[in-house]
Amino acid sequence: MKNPQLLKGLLEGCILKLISDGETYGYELVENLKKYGFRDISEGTVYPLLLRLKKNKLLYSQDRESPYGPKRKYYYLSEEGEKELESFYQTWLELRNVIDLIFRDYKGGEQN
Amino acid sequence: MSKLDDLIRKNNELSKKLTPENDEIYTNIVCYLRVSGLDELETEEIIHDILGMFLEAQERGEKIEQVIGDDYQAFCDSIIEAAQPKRFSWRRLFSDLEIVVIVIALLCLLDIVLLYLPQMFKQGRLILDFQVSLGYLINTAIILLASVSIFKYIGKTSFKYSKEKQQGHGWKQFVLLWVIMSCIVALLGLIRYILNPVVFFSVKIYYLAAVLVVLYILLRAVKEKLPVN
Repeated sequence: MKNPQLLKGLLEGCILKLISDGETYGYELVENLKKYGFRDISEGTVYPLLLRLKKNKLLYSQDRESPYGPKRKYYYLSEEGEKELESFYQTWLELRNVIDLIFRDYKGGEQN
Repeated sequence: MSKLDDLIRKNNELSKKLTPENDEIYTNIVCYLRVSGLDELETEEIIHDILGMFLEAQERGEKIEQVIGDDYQAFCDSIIEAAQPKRFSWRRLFSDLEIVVIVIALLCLLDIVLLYLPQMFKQGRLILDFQVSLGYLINTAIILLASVSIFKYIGKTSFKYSKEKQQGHGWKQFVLLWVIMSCIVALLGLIRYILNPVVFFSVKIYYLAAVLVVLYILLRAVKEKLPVN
């Protein structure tokens, strides 16, 4: 995906979803996102998003011992985070339908 | 020890585990973030997180470019944007005032050691009156302004400077700073020479010391109580 602005918002939604699946820390989250297909993602992209989500109180964090060096920061979804995730998903469903509809005949038609 | 001092100490301790190569990148990031206008406690927390990223990457045998990309300044800018620094914060005002008090105290001490002590020896008696002259006030203001500006300048240009150093142009910034510093020192000397005879009032040295110490303790105590955001 090349468009950074578009990517940011979508990634935030995906991060909320993955954290709601269970507590996770930065690197694990990045590996997870890569596994799903966000191939160019790195901690450099994800960390500022986590910071923003935390600042907006959608996440909270807890430091826990890690095998090496400093403590690892584990992230959890707050109640506001749950709500935001819900509303992101609703928005996404609507948007997906609309975009699919608009692009149905793009470059010679139905691709699915 | 305050939470901030504790965190700074912890970060310094942990950063010793970085490889020399990663330590240079880390240092540039730290310089850049510390002058970014973010709250100082928040900045240290972010630095702590970044240190964690670096050390874990090192442990996995990965290069920093693989973790945060090769544009370190862009990485920092996206962090600063995400953290949304406030234009004004009481905590920042208090930590700025804290620096002002420390600088004034240091300058007084310098004056006492360099000017008053020799005179005391010459005259063979204690001099306890600290003379506050026009020259002294102006010089203090100039030194404060210059040190803050140079500190900010070094932070803001940390990535650029590091790149220039790699290309062998590092001496340019060094010479520039050296020339600026020399000019400032010359200016200070001139102002002192011309304006020191204009004395406004004099204070007993021990009163001055007491006021500065109390002020410093008070500022720190209030800052501790203020919320980060």
